[in-house]
Amino acid sequence: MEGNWNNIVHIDLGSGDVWSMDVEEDVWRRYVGGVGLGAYLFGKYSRSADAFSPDNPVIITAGPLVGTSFPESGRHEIVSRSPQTTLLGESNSGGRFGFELKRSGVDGLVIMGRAQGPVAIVIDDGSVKLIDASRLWGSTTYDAINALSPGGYSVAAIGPAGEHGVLFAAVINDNGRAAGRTGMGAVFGSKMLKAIAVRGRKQVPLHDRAGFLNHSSRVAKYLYEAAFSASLREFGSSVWMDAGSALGDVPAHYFTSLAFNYDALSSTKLKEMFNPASRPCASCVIGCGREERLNGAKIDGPEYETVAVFGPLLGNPDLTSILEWNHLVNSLGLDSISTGVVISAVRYFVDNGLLGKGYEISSVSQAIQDIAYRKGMGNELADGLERFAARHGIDRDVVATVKGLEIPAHDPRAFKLQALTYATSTRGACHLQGEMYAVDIGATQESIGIKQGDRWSVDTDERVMSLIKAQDYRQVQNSVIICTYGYPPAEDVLKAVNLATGFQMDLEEMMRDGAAIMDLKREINERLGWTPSMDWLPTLVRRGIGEENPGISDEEMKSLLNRYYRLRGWQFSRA
Amino acid sequence: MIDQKITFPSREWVSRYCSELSASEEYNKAGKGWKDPILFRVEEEAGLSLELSAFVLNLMDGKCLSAEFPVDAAKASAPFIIQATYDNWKKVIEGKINPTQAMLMGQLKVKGNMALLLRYSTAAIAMVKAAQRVPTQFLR
Repeated sequence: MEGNWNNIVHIDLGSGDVWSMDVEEDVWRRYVGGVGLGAYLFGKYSRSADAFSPDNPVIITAGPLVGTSFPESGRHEIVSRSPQTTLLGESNSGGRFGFELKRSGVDGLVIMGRAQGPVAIVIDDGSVKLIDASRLWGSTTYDAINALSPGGYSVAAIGPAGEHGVLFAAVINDNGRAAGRTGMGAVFGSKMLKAIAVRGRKQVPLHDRAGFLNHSSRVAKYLYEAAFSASLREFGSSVWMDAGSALGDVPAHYFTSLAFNYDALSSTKLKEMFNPASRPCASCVIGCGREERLNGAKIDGPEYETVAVFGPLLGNPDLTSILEWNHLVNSLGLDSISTGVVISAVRYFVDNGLLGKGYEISSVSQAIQDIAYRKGMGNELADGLERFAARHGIDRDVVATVKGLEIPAHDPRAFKLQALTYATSTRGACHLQGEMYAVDIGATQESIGIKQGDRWSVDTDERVMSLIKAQDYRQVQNSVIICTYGYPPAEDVLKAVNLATGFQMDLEEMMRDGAAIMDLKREINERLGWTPSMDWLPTLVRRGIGEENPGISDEEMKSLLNRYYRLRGWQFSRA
Repeated sequence: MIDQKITFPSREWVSRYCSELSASEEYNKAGKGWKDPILFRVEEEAGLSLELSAFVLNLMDGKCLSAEFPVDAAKASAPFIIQATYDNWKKVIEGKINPTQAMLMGQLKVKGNMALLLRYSTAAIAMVKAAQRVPTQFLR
């Protein structure tokens, strides 16, 4: 088996048993690795158990490009039933963890059961052991990572939020890298799994090593030199604050306005104030990761989404506070997007009389800590916005979630196809499952049908087909695995996969794989209780906004969904 | 009457292009708010005889106010510089590659504020369409 080891390590935390299994070659060819392999393994082992049941497996995967020098491939996927959406959860993170996992001779971990007490998994060149993590239980993610990283280990850990079952708890690895969305940290916590440390020194088997290395170098060179890469290297992903705010893509005041001084949070300001250094993930030539200087200390810097949800969405123009809160959510192991949206929602509900004054949030720092430790009002907010709002009888149409997952900071009214992305994403409101805000400014892949169009004229077969192709290709990206930034032509990704694996796939087969992974994730969701009515977007983020944007009506949303389902060949009936 | 084809790049081509930009309603709208001159540079290569290898368009609020032709192309500068090989410029003008995608991938090399360019991605499309209205003769 080339490109992969064909080694899936199974760990039963209850019994302490560890064993390896392989999968058939046609599984690799169809589901590739990453999220595809994760969904396949989840389908195989899950018995539709509750997210916090010992029977809910948590699966961590690399992919055929991970562990190699192919640029932007230093990533891993975590797949499990999400406690937040109750559907299939998936989260993707960078750093060094995936690279080390693959270099240790492991393609994936299937973790089942529940330990008697806190444990950590230590993997050294494929040798797996469980160690007592009692002394780390209660610690921040940074402390846990620092405790386990000596010896060159890459560590993924949960913080107090995961331990306390916060439904949007993250798994943090390396330098503030987060598998943030869908509550994978809470699943770790339910299994008493504090951390996983891994190091690997094995060379990944490649079908045509010389050809692969030559191809990787060529791709790395043009990605490094590209203007957008240079921009990300200099300013971080916050560069989108500057571009997106002018396009109406950065929502303010809980998605109700675009009236905000965005310049106060520009990427240039961030650079001027905190003198950041670039911190690239493994095999990355872009280096959007930040290390900022705050009050003399070096801390991990925020990415665009975090600046956006703790900035405009909260109506907060103060960058220093955003850096502090970013550090706090990373330390405590919370998803920054969900945390920011939940807090901004509560403020909006109180301001508009939907919640009593008792729910007023005077200190965001305190609210973050209360959520992580489930103290006071934080205990309610820790269940996520959708459950919190339902408990208080708040109209669903002002609740910024899809399938229980909080909507991130790309406004669907700025790029209307993004509304379909949010509504139909299998993991809930996710901006990374068909990034139409990027496609419609020119991040296209014409050869596989991902085409730029007018961002407001979207209700045609051609435009919706572009989204479908973007969704399918995203499954490929998250399976091989490569980062969302860089975005090399699909032909170059395909070539790398073929050189690594020896498969002789063409673009058509690669895209069929992407569609098959979408289908598989959807089938799993149906088994877990998905209904068509969950593919919907609340009125809050569809109302007219700004001076010229009329928003997206119910009729338009229904028409888009019907077109999408017809083109997908799926049935849709709004319940 | 059939337009005589004009060689790309040449002074005549650039002047015509500047006129086409100002005449384009799509560019007038999409380029509103843009204030900076852009220096366009064609990379010189052996065997390719270029009449000029750099030109500046003074773009303002969706109009092309004028074109300039630096005496020393290598030393010329502007707030934004977009540079590419001859073949990549040809692909962009012929619509074979998306201009923003070409910038993201390095087929068009850019110096200047990338975020600002991303804001004006629609204007970039309109600029390509305006270039396509110039009857162009390519060198190869």
